Amino acid sequence: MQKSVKPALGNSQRGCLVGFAVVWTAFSLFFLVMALRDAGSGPGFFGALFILPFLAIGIGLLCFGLAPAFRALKVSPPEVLVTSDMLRLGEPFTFTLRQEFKAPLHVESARADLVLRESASYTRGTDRYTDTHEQILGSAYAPAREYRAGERLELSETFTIPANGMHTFQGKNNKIEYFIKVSIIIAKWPDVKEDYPVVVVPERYHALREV
Amino acid sequence: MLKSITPDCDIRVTLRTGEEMGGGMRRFLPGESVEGEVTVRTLKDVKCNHLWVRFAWHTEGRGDRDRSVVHEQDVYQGTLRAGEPMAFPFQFLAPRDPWSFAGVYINIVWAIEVDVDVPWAVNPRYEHALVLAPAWAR
Repeated sequence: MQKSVKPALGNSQRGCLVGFAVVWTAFSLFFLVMALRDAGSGPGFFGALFILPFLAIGIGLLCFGLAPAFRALKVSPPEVLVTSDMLRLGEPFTFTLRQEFKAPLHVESARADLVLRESASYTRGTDRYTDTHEQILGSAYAPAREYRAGERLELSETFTIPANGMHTFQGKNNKIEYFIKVSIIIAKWPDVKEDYPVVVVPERYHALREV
Repeated sequence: MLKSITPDCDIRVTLRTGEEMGGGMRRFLPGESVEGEVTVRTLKDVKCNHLWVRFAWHTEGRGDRDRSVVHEQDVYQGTLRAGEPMAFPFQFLAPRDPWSFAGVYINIVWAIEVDVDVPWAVNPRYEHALVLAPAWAR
């Protein structure tokens, strides 16, 4: 019996991102148009040049936020299943990725990694930064190939949480988490890149089994 | 046994339980009893509102600090007499988690913290680090 796991960046977060990107892009466009009206004079031209990077950021955020919706035109959302999403140290678990194609596509590579990620957030001045370090604990690959409409990519692997590792830790500024990172590179189409969290509790798998 | 010396106050923490790891560091298992003694000696009479002994963890490394006090005991209220070492036993139960951790960006450090609450002065403080992890963990 396998459980479905939701991606770390959910639909509501993406929706917020798209909303923010729309407002950002709208404001950038408005100021760009105002600047271009005065483009005949020197300051207007330089003003338009100054606003262009802001517009590019807005468009970039929009593309990132809307990528899953755009991708869904030809690829169904990935379905990730695990035997358990609450794991103990040393516990093996089976992970399955299913991805259905609605149109013919060429998958250049498909990969899933079990990673231990340290995320450290800090404030410098008024800005907030997060640095991450990832350690790959296991990987699964599917070969490159063409997929016809209605065909399904299926990737399955048994991973084991290291017996002498660390459990999941979620502080306000510091986090130690386990993820299954899925990366499917599709030719001439938005790639699938999602992280699926699994929680590791501070218990040992074998110790519990012996009881 | 380690000690902290401020100009007016010498604080020492001695742990009786746990497993010696070398370098004055002791290791405790989740759920194990952490027992020890705080010894405080002052150079002059000091009025002490509270002498707090805390069992707490904090993070070190790249990120802003996370901290949590798991247990806290007020072991003394009164006057610390000059030159007279005063010993205060304490006992805590080690929690289940988080375990001590040394990573690339994040370290989780457990410690016995001693805080002498002195009125109208900077509190003398001392931290005695220890390791909280199961025997089979790294």
